[in-house]
Amino acid sequence: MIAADIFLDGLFAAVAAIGFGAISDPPMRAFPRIALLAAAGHALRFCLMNYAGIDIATGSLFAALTIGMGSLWLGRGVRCPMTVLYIPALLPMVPGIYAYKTVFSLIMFLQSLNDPGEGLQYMQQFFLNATVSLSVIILLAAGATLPIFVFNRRAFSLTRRKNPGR
Amino acid sequence: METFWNTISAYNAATWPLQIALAALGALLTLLLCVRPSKAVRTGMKLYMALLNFWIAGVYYMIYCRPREYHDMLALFWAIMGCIWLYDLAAGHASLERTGRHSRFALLLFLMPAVYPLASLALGRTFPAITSPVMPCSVAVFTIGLMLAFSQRVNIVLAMFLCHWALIGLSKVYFFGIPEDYLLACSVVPALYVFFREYVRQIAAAPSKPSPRVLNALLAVLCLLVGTFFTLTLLHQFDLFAGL
Amino acid sequence: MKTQKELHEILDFIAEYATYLLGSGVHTSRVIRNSQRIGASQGVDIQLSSFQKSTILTARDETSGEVVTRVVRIPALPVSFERNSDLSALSWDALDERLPLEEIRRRFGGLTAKPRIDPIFVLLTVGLANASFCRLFGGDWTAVGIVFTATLVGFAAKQRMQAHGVNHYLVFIVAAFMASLCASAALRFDCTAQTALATSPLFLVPGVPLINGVIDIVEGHILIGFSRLINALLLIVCIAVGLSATLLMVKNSLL
Repeated sequence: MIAADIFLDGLFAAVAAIGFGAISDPPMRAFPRIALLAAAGHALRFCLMNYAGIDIATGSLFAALTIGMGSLWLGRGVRCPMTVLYIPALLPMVPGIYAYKTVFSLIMFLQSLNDPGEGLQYMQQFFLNATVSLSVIILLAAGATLPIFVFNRRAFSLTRRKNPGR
Repeated sequence: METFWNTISAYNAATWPLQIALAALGALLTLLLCVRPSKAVRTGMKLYMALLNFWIAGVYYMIYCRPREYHDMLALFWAIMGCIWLYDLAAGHASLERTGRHSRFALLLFLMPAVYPLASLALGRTFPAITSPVMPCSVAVFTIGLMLAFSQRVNIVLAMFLCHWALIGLSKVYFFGIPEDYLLACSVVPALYVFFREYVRQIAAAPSKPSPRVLNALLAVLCLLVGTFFTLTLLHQFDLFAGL
Repeated sequence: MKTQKELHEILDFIAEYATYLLGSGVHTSRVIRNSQRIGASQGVDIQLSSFQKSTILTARDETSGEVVTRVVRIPALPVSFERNSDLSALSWDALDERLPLEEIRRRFGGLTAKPRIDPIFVLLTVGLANASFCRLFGGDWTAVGIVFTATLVGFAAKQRMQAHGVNHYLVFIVAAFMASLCASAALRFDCTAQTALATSPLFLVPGVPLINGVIDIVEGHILIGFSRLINALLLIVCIAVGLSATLLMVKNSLL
């Protein structure tokens, strides 16, 4: 049952990555690898959050690191820069529900200006959700980008033909 | 459920002469469009469609369906569709030329508004608590037929709006048990399939990304998914009736 | 040793190449590396600094020491990862195979003329993507279906408005509003309507400028990094405005 949950999580993440990736017009040959990376990353975060008790921000950081390393490894085969593979793969991890709650609690705060108690509660929710969504997004971007700096020689030559001077 | 049929009865009892007039006007314009298409007729048809959508928004939802929850959202939905028709007229899109393809299927869709009351009667309801020709679902089916028979290039936003409406219809079947709404879903899905097939055939001539093969595969996957949804709803529907 | 005219030709081509990349959503340091690689293949040293709307390039002939500088406007192009990969590969080919400028220009023309991804394909896959996104957030199957069609409406509206050249902030507001309005239909049914509402406008999230902004900042191109982030932030505010228009109408049933 747990295995099926993890598998389904990866599957839906893969579909989401393909669709959101398609907006940015990636090469057709990159789609299978984007799907694979997204599935691996999201399933990893799912496991960390549900079975290891890690919070969403740290979980996202580890998942993003995995995706970043994976794109470095897989980018060679299809001659794509790392960003082409990892930006679509990161998109399914965008904390949508937190972002939505941020907007919602802001609206409700503005609607309850006359009731300080209620207003305070909504303000608190606003800051909580805004903090979570912001930190998750920043950690996602930073985590996936880190491998570029660590392995920059390899990262910069992913699109080079293997046999120069033919 | 109770409110649903009450509002429909009130609407039908109060507006049936106007509904008949609107339906007759629609039939006349469709006939003219088939037999003697001219610029004036096309403009008239677009104005008529805008009027019909605004009628649904203003008269049906804002006046008679007031007791229902979220009537204002639905009115807004139909008002936006009316605005799209007006925009269509102003920009001169989807010129309503007769394409001559799928005419038999389109004819079936044109007859749908008449089928709706018959289906209601067949299910054992009595006037005025029946679905009538000028109601959201009948209008949606009619619009689909119109786009299928007459437009070279489908107004994709409008098509997607109708697709959304059909899905809500399906959910209504699922939760409230109003089997008439199956008619809409059953006509929208094949219509959309025809649209997309046609589109894939059009772009197959030039080099495209992705290849037509991938597009067809995507279409097949979508059909499979929609088919599964349909089957599940149908099974749930039987459960609903068995439980009564 | 190059004549003034040759140096100008090289600079003009690299200016076109670099602004094309910047317009297609490539982060700054990659554009700089690629341009310098092409410059190196022609025996010219290229330095470039970029802002959100324009780029300053300088080409210096390594043998004669002659210098040419231009300020070039960055065109507004749709984001394209395929152009990103192809043109990066072109810069390596130019260096590795010592291609002449004429050949590079010919290949550049061929690569930029390749067909972009089909809009209907994008429309359908984005619908599926947002639907599975809803599932990832724990929505039930009714919510998934409604998010699917709501996304189709919102994205189709976005595509048509963009094709008609509507201001892109307005595009985002209207698309977010339409998608969430359609998704609010879920409130009438017994399903996870909150999740459907929350997920419906997420296909608009500008992921590419967000992540490019972070990359640029981390790599020291802080000014352009912040401009990208502010651009992305404005678009996110637009999504929030469109979503709030719907929320204001239905807020009483969400509490």
